[in-house]
Amino acid sequence: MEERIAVYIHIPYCLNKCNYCDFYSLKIDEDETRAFTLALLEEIKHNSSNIKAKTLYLGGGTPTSLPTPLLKKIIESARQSFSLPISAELTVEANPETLDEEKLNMLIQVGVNRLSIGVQSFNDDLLRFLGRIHSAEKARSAIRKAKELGFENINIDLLFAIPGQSLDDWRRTLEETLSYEVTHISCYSLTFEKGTRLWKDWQMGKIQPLEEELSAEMFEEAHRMLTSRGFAHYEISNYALPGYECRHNLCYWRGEPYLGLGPYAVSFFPPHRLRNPSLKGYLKGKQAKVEEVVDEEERKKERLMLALRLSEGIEKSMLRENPLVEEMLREGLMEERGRRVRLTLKGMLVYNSIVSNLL
Amino acid sequence: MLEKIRNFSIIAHIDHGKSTLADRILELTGVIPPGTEVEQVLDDMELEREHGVTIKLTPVRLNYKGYILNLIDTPGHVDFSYEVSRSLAACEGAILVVDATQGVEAQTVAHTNVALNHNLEVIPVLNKMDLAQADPERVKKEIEEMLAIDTSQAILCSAKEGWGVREVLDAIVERIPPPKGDPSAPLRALIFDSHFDPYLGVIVYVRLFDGKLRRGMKVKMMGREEEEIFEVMQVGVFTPKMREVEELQAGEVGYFAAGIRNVRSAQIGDTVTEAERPAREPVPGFRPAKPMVFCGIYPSEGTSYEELREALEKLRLNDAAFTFEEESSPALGIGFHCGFLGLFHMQIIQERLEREFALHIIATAPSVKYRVKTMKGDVLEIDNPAKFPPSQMIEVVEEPFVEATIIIPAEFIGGIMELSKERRGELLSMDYPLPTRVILRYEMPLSEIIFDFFDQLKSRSRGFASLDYEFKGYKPDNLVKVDILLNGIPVDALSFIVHREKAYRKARFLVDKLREVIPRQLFEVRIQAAIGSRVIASQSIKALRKDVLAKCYGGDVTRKKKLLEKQKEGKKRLKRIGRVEVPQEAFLSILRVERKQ
Repeated sequence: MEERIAVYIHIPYCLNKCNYCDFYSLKIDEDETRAFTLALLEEIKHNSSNIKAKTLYLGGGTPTSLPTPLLKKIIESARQSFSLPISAELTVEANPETLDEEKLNMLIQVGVNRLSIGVQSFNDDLLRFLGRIHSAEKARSAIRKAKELGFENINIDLLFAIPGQSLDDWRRTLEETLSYEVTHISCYSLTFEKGTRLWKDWQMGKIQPLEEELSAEMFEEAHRMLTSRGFAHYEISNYALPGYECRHNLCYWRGEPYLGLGPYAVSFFPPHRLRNPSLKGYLKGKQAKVEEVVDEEERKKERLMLALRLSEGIEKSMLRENPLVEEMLREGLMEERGRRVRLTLKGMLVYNSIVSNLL
Repeated sequence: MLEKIRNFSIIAHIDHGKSTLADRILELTGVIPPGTEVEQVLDDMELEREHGVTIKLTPVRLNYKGYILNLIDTPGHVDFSYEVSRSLAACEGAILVVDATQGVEAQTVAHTNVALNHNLEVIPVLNKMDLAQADPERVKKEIEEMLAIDTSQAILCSAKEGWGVREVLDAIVERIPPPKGDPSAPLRALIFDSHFDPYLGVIVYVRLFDGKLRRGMKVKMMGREEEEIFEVMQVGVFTPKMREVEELQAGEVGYFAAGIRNVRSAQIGDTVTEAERPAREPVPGFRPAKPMVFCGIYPSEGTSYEELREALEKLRLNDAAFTFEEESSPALGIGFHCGFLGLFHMQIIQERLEREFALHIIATAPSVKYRVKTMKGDVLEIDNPAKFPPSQMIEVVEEPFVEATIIIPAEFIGGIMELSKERRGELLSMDYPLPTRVILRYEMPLSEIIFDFFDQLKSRSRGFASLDYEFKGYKPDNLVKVDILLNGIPVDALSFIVHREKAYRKARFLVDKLREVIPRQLFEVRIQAAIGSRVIASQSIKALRKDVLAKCYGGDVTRKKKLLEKQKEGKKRLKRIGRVEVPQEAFLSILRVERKQ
């Protein structure tokens, strides 16, 4: 029997592009969504004959920005085509602004069992700064509604190190998030990606990234608060209650193969990493192109780079002979767990430096 | 025959228009077609044109009104004063070009003095007369007062516009005496330059004082300790291309090739004579080329040791004054310790390595050659601070001193005297040849001059100061070696020798500078400066606090991997000392520190 793999579906639409976002997303065009959906259904069908899914993840963009019937069709088709087991993780990403009762009910009805809500902050000033279209209040009601209608496995995405954010503000946002008793919390440090509005403002000197020390303290604060409330810090930016780690994302971090559908989505069938065309080409039926050939050597590098993001770490034997490893262990940047090594909290904070030393 | 020959040089301060005048002379005598203006034919290296000075001398033979004029060019920089003196020794006369808008400068004085010492007929030419600021009367007065040269027959000229050039040529014929010499006496030929030709070997540029030089003759150099005999394969003149001739005679200027493999076998200033019938006395004034300034040159990113060695060898083929030997530094790996005539010579070589040979190099801060007398009574010559013996073994350290001549408009005297004092200069004399001009003579350590003294002079005189210097000898002073340690590990390439009184300040500056240029790392970095075991300055660089990719999902593995790999590549450019990663820039910090001070 064939190995099941993670299947990702990229919905490239948003109601509005956020100031910090460098994902492939476009302002939604209602007229186009039908053509898009048809193309996507075609792609699902085309790939269904030889692929079985172990997880299904709809990300974006904002999948919930699609008209409810279209989104419903996509999910149903994907579930069926890739024979997703009933107990398998099925995640949909959502913007609080798009989560009305009708949509939530539809999601439950088609078997979505994990909802990932992009809350980012419970501070309206910061939300405006980020260019989010929703208010804190809207996020609160969306979370309550989702829980009320029966979503048990909910992730909340948060951002920290936002210019103007204080440590106290960050604590309040974390505290409030915890109060909703969700199962999973992602805490992303805000980054200034090239091409974003935020980046431009920074280049023009209008804004400054948060000071490094404060940003590090926020990272540490999240760790302290969330782990003390039973969350495992299982990936650099991700926390989950035991058993609620995102199975889909774990596939990426463990270097497993995956299928990506939708415009600009990436698939990994070692040794090939393929990328779909952007929306224009996608609608014309253009095929995915090989983005990279990942040979054994590269695969090892990727395993190292991805596994060190996880608290499960990496087999010590996977690390090349490097006197720096001993230094890092001694300096408390890494720690040994049986035959595995992993980054400590201090080490996670300098992940890039560590990995670039070990690559 | 000799009656129809004139051997002359053009001497000038930098930028006074020597090359332009030479171009005009070449045009008028039909050597090059008119309008070859921008190409200053004699400066055949790109770098020369950029620096506005001539480094290599190219002689050229001209025909004018039935006379043969041999123009022997001179290099225009203070580092090459010995080469200038050898070029002038090959002439009977010199055209002294003075910028009529500027006046007499330090090298005008220095070169004129050399010319007068060789009893040359000096013809003053006031150039740039086309410019509105030209002030010939003032400049004439300066020439008379500062150089003691009669200006009643000075030629007014604009080489750029072509005025007065014919007058210059006529003056060469009329006023410069023809060479003397006995064609039947034993050969006596002064070497004033050479270059290396891959087919013919060293091409030796000579001025014959006595005798003849022709193919088949066996010759030797009188200044060589080991006698080497060469058979002349080719004799010729420069038109300016090399053109073979039957023979060269006393009084003439030309070249010969004799299968000489190494420029060191035919050094500038040496005398060529016949092996069988040697001359009794060489042409006086020979001094083997001796480097005065030293630095380490190491291969860096992408450049191999072998490539660097090959390039250095090629440069050495043409440059007897440039020396190098292999050395290894714990901090920088295997590279070369190189010797130069001066700082400018060093910069030229470094730039040629980077541009002509497209190499990536790290050059350490320049040093002079110190004489260290040890407690045991030995005298060590040390041109690399890293090789200094421990302080308790040293009885006394002596350093090279120069006599520096600085000419400035009187208004800048305060700032310049202050600078010279900072640089441990001792004032020898102060003269006002004119109320508006001052000539300062200082005795000063060479080490103080090689660190951008000239740039400082310029900046404190709004560009008006000019400088010339001459090596005087060695003097003891209170010198100490300062070591730089990174997390307790001494970095040899950053050690420096300094006067004890300046040690603290310089150490402080350097340590601060290193703190700026060394990036934060995974571990804390301690930077210390120490004399022996006594730490005199320290700083620390806190460990990196946060450097982490927030997200890495399926869609961005490739991009994030590249990002991390780029970071890794960046690290490759760093030198690892202990566990500290040090950027190349750090090794240049000493130079920067001097500048800031």
